[in-house]
Amino acid sequence: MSEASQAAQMNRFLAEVETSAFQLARYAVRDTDEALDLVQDAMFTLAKKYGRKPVSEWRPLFFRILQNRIRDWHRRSKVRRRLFSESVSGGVDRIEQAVDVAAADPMLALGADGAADEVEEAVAGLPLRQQQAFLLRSIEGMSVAETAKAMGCSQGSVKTHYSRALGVLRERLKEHV
Amino acid sequence: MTESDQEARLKEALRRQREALPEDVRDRLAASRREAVAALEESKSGGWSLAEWFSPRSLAMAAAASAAIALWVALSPGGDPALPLLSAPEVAVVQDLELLEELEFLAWLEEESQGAG
Repeated sequence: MSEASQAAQMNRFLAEVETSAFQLARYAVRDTDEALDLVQDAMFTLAKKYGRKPVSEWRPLFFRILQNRIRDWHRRSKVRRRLFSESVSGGVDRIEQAVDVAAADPMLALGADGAADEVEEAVAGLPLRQQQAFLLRSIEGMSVAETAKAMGCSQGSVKTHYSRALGVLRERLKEHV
Repeated sequence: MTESDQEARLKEALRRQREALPEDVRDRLAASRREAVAALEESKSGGWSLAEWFSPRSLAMAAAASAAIALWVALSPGGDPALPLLSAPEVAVVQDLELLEELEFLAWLEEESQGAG
């Protein structure tokens, strides 16, 4: 494959997945800027390190990279939260001081109607693994095997996460969907 | 409403949400994409593939470099005492063989990883 055609293929591939990757990352971190950074990082890593791999491998690789970035982001946030809580002296209301990222991000309030807001809130409220399994399968249309590869877990785990996510969403959204 | 209806409606809600992404977010995604594609092109022009390693030009350069190093080591006063037993061209041949073995190993590794992928 010529360099020009590979670059064109990479451009086409990333254009196909960028909005769903962003949606997936935004649900996971609940912040538009952070989600954009994660997607940018995943795109760059795929192109730089795995651009020579066959085109058919790009999709699982890309979403695997994105999943790893999301997981790293959560680990870093956890450390930051711990440091924050240790550095704050007594007498200060920590809950009052904590930033509500959902409220801070206007995109999370985006929705054409009440149902869209409800869906947003319900999906955002899922545990991370359930949420990512649900979104990879629903948004990207990935098979169980592809989702397992992207999430770095077994197919059985994907089935469990997906089924639990659906159960929770059905329960929370029974009036809307 | 059946479970699959609910699932379909959820997917539809997510699709609508994706389509409603603001223009500035789309612009930033497009900019990230362009940077990634540029990085791909850069890595190709700057990187060394195995095919390039095996090119006659690369092998000739490696042989010349090996011969020069061997000659320098053999002629230096405190050089490796074992080296003077071999003439400089012989040392170069031995080192070239080692280099070739290493390159063959790398090529095999590459084939293995392709086979596994």
